[in-house]
Amino acid sequence: MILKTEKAGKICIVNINGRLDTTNFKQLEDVLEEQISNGEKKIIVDCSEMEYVSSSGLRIFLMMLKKTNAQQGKFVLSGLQSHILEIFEIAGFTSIFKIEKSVDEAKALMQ
Amino acid sequence: MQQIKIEIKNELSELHKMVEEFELFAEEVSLPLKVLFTMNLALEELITNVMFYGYNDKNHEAIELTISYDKENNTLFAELKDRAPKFNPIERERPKDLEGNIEERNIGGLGIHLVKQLMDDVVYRRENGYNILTIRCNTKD
Repeated sequence: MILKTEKAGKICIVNINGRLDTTNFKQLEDVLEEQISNGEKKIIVDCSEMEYVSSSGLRIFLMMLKKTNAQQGKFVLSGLQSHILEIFEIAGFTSIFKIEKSVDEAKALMQ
Repeated sequence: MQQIKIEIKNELSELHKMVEEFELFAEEVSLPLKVLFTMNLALEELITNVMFYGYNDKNHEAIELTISYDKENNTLFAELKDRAPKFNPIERERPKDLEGNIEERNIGGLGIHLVKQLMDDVVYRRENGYNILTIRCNTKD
């Protein structure tokens, strides 16, 4: 899995490329944790290149959503592939996460 | 029936080996990608469950995985065998908090919930000191 972080004004965008699983979820946790503790309040996780996610990855998304909410921030996911979206549905996550088709749409939501 | 057996040692890094071998097998038997993804996810959830809760730090233990593809009947099976104390993961109830609001969510049991929803059948039995889980997935929509 490769993680890339970029800034667009006051928005922080983290791109996940590859498989997010029990062997590497900690990397994502560390990257997001760092951004949040640095005071980032608007976070987009671009999942368009995320090929796989298991419950350990889902747990990180939930944890970070709670943290940003606690700081009156925004946490938005974008570009989930259809097989990944299905996992989010089964997990009951589509009702609690803001999920947009693209990073641009997610950015628009941040304004 | 085409079959592959994989021995998984009680180490997280063994998940990579499992994925690689399963992917090679899937390619050989032309398994649909969607089924590869779903079965892979179910296997990761069940294997890590045994590693974290069954075996703990018993490093010498292993999990025996057998994956069988019955192409004529469009069915993929996997059998997981471990020597941990008796534990039936499917007895766990559906997490109550799947419908709760964000603050109420606490996702213990989410992995098993995913397995039950994604697979067409999940059966547990205890036999000769082994926990044996058999999961089945239809490969045709």
